[in-house]
Amino acid sequence: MATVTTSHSCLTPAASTSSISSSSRGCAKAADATSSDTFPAGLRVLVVDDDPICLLILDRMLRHCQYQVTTSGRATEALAMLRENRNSFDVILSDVYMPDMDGFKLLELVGLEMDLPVIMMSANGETSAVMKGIKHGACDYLLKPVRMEELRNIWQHVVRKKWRSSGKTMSHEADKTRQIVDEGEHTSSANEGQDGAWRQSKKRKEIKEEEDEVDLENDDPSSTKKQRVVWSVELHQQFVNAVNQLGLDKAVPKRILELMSVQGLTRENVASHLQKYRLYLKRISGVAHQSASGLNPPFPVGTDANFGSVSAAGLAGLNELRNLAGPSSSALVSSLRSGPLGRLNPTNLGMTNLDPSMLLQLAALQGAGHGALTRPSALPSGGQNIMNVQGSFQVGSNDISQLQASQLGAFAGSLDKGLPGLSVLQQQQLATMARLGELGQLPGVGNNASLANSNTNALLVQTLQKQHAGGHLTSSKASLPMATSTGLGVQQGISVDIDPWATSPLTGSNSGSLRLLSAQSMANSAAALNPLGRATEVDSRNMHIPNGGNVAAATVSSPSMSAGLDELAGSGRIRDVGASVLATNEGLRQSYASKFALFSGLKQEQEPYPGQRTQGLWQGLDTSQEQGHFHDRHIQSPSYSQSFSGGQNLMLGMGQDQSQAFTPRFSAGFAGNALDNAQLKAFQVRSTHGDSLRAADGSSKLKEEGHLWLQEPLSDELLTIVLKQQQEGLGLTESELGGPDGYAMDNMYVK
Amino acid sequence: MEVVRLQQQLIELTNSLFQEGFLDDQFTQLQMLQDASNPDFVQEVVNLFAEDSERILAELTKALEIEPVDYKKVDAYVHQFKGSSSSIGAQRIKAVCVDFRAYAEAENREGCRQALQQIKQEFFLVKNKLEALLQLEQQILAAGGRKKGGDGLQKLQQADVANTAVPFNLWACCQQDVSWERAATNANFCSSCA
Repeated sequence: MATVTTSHSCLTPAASTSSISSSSRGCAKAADATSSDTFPAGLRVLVVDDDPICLLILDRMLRHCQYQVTTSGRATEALAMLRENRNSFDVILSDVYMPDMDGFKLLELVGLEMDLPVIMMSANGETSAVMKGIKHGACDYLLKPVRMEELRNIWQHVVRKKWRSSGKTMSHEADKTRQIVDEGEHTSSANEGQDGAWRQSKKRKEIKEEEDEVDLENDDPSSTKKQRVVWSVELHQQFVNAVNQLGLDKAVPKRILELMSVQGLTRENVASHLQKYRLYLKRISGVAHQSASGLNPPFPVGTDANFGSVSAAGLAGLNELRNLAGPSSSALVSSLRSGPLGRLNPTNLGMTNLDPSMLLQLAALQGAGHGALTRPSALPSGGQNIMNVQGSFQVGSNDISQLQASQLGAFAGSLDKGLPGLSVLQQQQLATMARLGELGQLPGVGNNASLANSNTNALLVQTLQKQHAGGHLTSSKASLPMATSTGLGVQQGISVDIDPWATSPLTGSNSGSLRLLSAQSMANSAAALNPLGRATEVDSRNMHIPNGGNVAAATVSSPSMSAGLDELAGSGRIRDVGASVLATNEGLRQSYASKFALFSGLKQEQEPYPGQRTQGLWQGLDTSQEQGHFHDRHIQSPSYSQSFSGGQNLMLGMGQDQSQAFTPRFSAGFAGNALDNAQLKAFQVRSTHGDSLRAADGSSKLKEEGHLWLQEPLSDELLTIVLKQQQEGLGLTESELGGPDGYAMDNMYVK
Repeated sequence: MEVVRLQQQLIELTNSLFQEGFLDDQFTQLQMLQDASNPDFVQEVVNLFAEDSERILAELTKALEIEPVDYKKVDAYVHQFKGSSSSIGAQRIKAVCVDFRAYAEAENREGCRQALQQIKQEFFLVKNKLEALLQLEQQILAAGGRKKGGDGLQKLQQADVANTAVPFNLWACCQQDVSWERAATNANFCSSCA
């Protein structure tokens, strides 16, 4: 017993050999630590369990192990505590079943936000439950009732995590430490007598010296704790941008690190974060698939049976657009709206994934009409999509359109996960768009593609709208009736994008895109989702765009959208669609919308005419016609382009290229800003094809909206994104969109 | 003598509880957690358990009364009850909880009702026994005996034989380290106290 007493301080009363071993090991380790001699004593543990008895028992047990214990009966409380001070705890013990929050959810959040080791506990010891815990990232899974021995060893998770994160930098040190630990272990098992202790202390001294040398920001008393990296919203945004730039498939930590160029960030940090991010995306795509497959509710087709059905189908895909405009004038529109747009649920992550596919579909549709969207299905992940999209979207072989298409593709690429699921939708959309084109309803919208675009746009817009919740999404703007289909689609994408990883919603853009959409077709589309709805309406009925067919500003609010869309009825429709799409893209900004937009708006070599782009995108738009017009119009005002680009950053890009005006407006979501009066007018002129888009009206409205948009703080950001995107070409740069989950984009100008 | 008698009673009661399956090893762990700095730990836990369990049982009863029965809620309650009873070492209750959960999953209302009855019975049984246990301890204390740090016999069984004495292996009578002596004499009290 005498021998034991010497190390007794380290040894908590052990009931078994293992505990003794671990304790002595702990002792050895403690000796290594710069400041602590009694590791793992003093380990700061946070226990979360709704059962007060378990909480009390665990508290006692942990205190017995000489840990510093904090208990909490509610997960929300615990999370608040953690968020308040990330560094106040070393390890977390959490129950699985809790009334206010699922233990796994807490586990994920802690892992993502704080990167602390979390140990799950449960009376349920089924393999499936344990597996779930592991999948969510738990360091360990303890079965209740928890025994003291198990609790004694929880420090190992802390150490392990530290060592892992230290990685190479401290591997040398770690090795040494491990040696000591092994020594300690060996010693303890043999005889925790003085010999071992002496040997250990000798080693400890050596290690300590080394440790001092390589001490990296080690102010933690408990051991060689590497500085924990806090993935703030800005940082995450940078990360996402970098990843998107590289392409998810090609994103390697090293390159991401280079792109991010953040001081103090190591490759390991990035690697682990990337891993989490990938898991997250996978989960989202899973959701997307689900939602995608679940879409396609039969929508009552309005005026145009075919069209309606087609659009409905397409819209179904766009289910995300929840609030698609209210009762749109045309069934199609409504269907579009109600369909995918109806489901425009910002939290519908699936949308994000849908986007690319939808876009493609749209493209496909467009192709059908004008043969532009020929390759809807080709949504290869990565940049290839862009190419495909481009091909398909070539309405008038407009660069812009191609860009847009590529954007879509790119977008799709980025969302590669969700593509498969979208294909159905896409097809639908495309079909719809084709229909629309055929129907000639949307001369502007042209091909179904355009319609699809509008849908997409609508979707996008909707998404944007949604996101823009508090934004200036005024439905009244007769914004461009962007190709609702595309818009819708885009919107969907946008809406989907609201997920924790997404950046903050493009409030600005959303509104813009929404506007665009609404303006176009959905005369009556419901305010919210209208962008798509509008488009459909416009398409279906030849887009009687109530609003003066302002293609441009996809009114944020759905009502305006529809109006806008209606306005787009004329040739401008397509534009609108495009715009809406762009607008939607804005919305998508958050997740991948921006990408899309960028693409569409990227490289506006020719004429960064929002309309053009849109057209290009939405083949439906009589690009040729439009283009010509647009060219003239040359949406000088950024707003205009913005409106088109609904979701497309194209507009943004365009803005950059062409006018700086885009800047603020663009983000606003095309809708408002984009449609300058002038632009609108121009638009109208252009859209003389068919029902002239009462762009003028729309534009004016848009203007108002645009102004609103201008104030949109995001606009600048959007522009930045677009600019960046443009600069980077079709690179999928993650828009610096803030996500709802704290990843909001505060820092757009990452670069 | 009174103390010794009481202590013997305590040991017998404890043993019977373990043997009859009312309590399991987890309870021993709780006893181990009781020490000078926390002399009333076991009492605290038992009280809390009694209180919380009564609440849960009341909720369960209510949940099974209403129509239609929300089996998810029932399952959640039972799960919680299972967790807390296993934490305290109430073995038999835990077993009935397992059955109860099976019934709940099968949405077998009658089965659930029966299981609930059984749980209540077991709960009251173990509650009474634990209260008797604690009462005895109080009496021992009052009579001048020391508070036990745990049943010497059981501690010894748990301790690693090859190890040096585990501080918790204390005699119930005098809190002296018990391991070697106990192994040698196989007594329930140390030679100095017995």
